[in-house]
Amino acid sequence: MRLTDGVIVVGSGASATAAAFPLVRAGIPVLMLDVGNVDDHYAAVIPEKSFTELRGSDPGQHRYFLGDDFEGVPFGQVRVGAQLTPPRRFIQRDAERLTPMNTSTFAGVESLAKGGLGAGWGAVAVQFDDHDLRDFPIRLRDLAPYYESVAARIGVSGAADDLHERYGNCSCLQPPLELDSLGASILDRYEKRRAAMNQMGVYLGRARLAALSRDLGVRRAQSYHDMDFYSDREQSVFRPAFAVDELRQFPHFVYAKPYLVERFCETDGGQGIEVAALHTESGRRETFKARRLVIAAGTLGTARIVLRSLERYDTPVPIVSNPYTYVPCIHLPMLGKAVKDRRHSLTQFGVILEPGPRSARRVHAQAYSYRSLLLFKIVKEAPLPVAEGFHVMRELMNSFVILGIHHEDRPAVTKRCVLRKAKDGGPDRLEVSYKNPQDVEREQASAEKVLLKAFRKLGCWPLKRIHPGNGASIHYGGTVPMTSEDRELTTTPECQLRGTSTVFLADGSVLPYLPAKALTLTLMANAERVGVRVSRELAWKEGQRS
Amino acid sequence: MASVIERTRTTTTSEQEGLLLARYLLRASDVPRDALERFETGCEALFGAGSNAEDLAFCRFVTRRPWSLPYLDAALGILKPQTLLRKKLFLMLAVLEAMPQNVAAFTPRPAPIAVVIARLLALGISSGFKALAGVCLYPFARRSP
Ligand SMILES: Cc1cc2nc3c(=O)[nH]c(=O)nc-3n(C[C@H](O)[C@H](O)[C@H](O)COP(=O)(O)OP(=O)(O)OC[C@H]3O[C@@H](n4cnc5c(N)ncnc54)[C@H](O)[C@@H]3O)c2cc1C
Repeated sequence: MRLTDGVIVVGSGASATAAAFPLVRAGIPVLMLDVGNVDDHYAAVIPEKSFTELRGSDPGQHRYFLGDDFEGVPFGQVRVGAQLTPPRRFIQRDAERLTPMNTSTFAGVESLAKGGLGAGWGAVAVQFDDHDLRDFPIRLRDLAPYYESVAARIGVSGAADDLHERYGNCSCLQPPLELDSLGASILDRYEKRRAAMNQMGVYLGRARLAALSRDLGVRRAQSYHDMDFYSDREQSVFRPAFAVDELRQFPHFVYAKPYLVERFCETDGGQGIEVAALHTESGRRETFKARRLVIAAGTLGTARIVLRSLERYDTPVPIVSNPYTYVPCIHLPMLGKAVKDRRHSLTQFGVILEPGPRSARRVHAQAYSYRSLLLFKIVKEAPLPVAEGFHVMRELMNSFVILGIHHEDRPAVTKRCVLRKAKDGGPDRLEVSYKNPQDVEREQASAEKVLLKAFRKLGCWPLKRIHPGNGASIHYGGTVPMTSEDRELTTTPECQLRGTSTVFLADGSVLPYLPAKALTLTLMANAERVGVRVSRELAWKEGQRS
Repeated sequence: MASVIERTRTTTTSEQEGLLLARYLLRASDVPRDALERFETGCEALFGAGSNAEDLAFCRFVTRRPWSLPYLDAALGILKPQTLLRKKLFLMLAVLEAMPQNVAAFTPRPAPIAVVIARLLALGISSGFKALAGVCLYPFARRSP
């Protein structure tokens, strides 16, 4: 048995690392248990050059653009996580084997990587406001100081424009990343039609991104190489793995891998905690002991650990995931125009549709230009002969804007996950069933119509609406929600697991529902809140002891 | 170019297929040898698990009658977009795109909007005609022995 006089943190993603920082800074020993897969294959083969330079000069580019096993050449329906290029595929490695899911209605993505899903996230980093949090048991004031400190730590860039209030104020905001030609053209039109747009409830603004426009520590400002979906060379985009490396500078922080945490058990009358984990390479089972446990294994991973530990197999718990629609549009004013080569691959600008007569809930969208994911992927979407399709898409590419629309998601009896005990000695399986009620789907469709109507006014003509399937947003939450009501399989508003005195949850599992805005900055702020709460509790106990 | 497959060179069946698809896509007669090798490896990695009889029939049909490829491709794009022949075309397109010598072919060419619209119209019309012809070939191709 390995002992720590401090806290065990499960996971190394955006949430886990955010929870660990205040603990470590308070001098509390932290043992981070993680499966911790890394990319040991592609990072070294991508030269530090821009997309255009690589395309024109690197004979080995097929390795990272297509993948050594052609894993970057997708067939069939539009997949989940189109940005998960071959160098990012390690994010999903082993998940199906070690944490299997049974579902025909939910395209869930889980990660057992160092840094979790954040190793490939799109870095949209926005705050929830009191409207978003209206049915949470906490308010913006509870999160505000943590939004501020997380933003200072990870570096967030953005502008004081129409979305500033909606995305949340932050004193350390870096200037926004440069717009590419397409983004600039659309935002320029918005400026001229602002009053009409706002009357429709539509607000546009520069992207709020966890990507640096100025150097921060060892991380460098965005180089505009347009290789953000492939490489992290300059570290402009925040990845939680960088935070793990930062934490490792502290002598009382230990990062232990590859450990798959299976269950916990409280000891010493609720004074301590034992954690059982599988060493995934040797197959050995080990036990770790600590004073507190913070679980941030991802919304689904955390649900697994909680349900298994509390022996609540076959008990349904809720799940929420932002419904997601992609809309490729043609921005007519850019047709045939030359575009700047200097650009990044992340979202160019954000869009918010405020609640109104056609939509009772807020909708959040991000707009992307298209280039570094290569032409062949969009040719596949057109019902044209491939030779003609390729020429058509080449003509259109510079005017392509892809809107990714996210809707709010609330729990419902039709959205559930259940842990089933393995009968064959293999890993337990999480069964997920997800279906939104029809009236909710209708409401979402009608909100999308309003948004697309506004986009037509900006010269963007939608080609088709693509629904990549439930779960495709890769924004998950709500499996063990925080609530003020004393119910089992929930947490307190401080994220302490009910029925335990030492276990805290610090990831999407605790969010009772998902507002339309991207969730991860909130996950980090809330996780830091949990870390501070635990460190204060331990400090207080320490004070009492002495 | 050193490693180019010449028209006259003896080739294997899958090389022949690769050559046919690459020439059709690039509208060029010279195809880098790397592209054909990569295409072959890709076919093994992605389609190695076996294909159904109809899928194979379409591939056989176009290999024996190279002139039919544009028409059948157009018809399959509408009738059976997920068929093996189309998948092989996309694979070859991906392979060709990820080669430095083809970068110009895959880069948008700025032009006055009227020219772009004219090009798009021409491409649309030619796709339509090809699809019509392809639909006539379709019943024969799917039963190709
Ligand atoms: C392509 C893509 C784009 C995205 N874009 C955005 C965006 O722009 N903005 C945004 O807000 N969000 C985005 N997201 C979502 C975002 O990545 C996630 O919300 C966020 O990373 C979740 O972080 P987490 O730490 O809570 O969980 P995860 O990232 O899931 O981390 C879980 C961690 O726990 C570990 N773990 C799991 N189970 C166990 C176990 N049993 N034992 C030990 N360790 C375990 C894993 O190894 C991992 O380190 C995107 C996601 C993807 C994939």
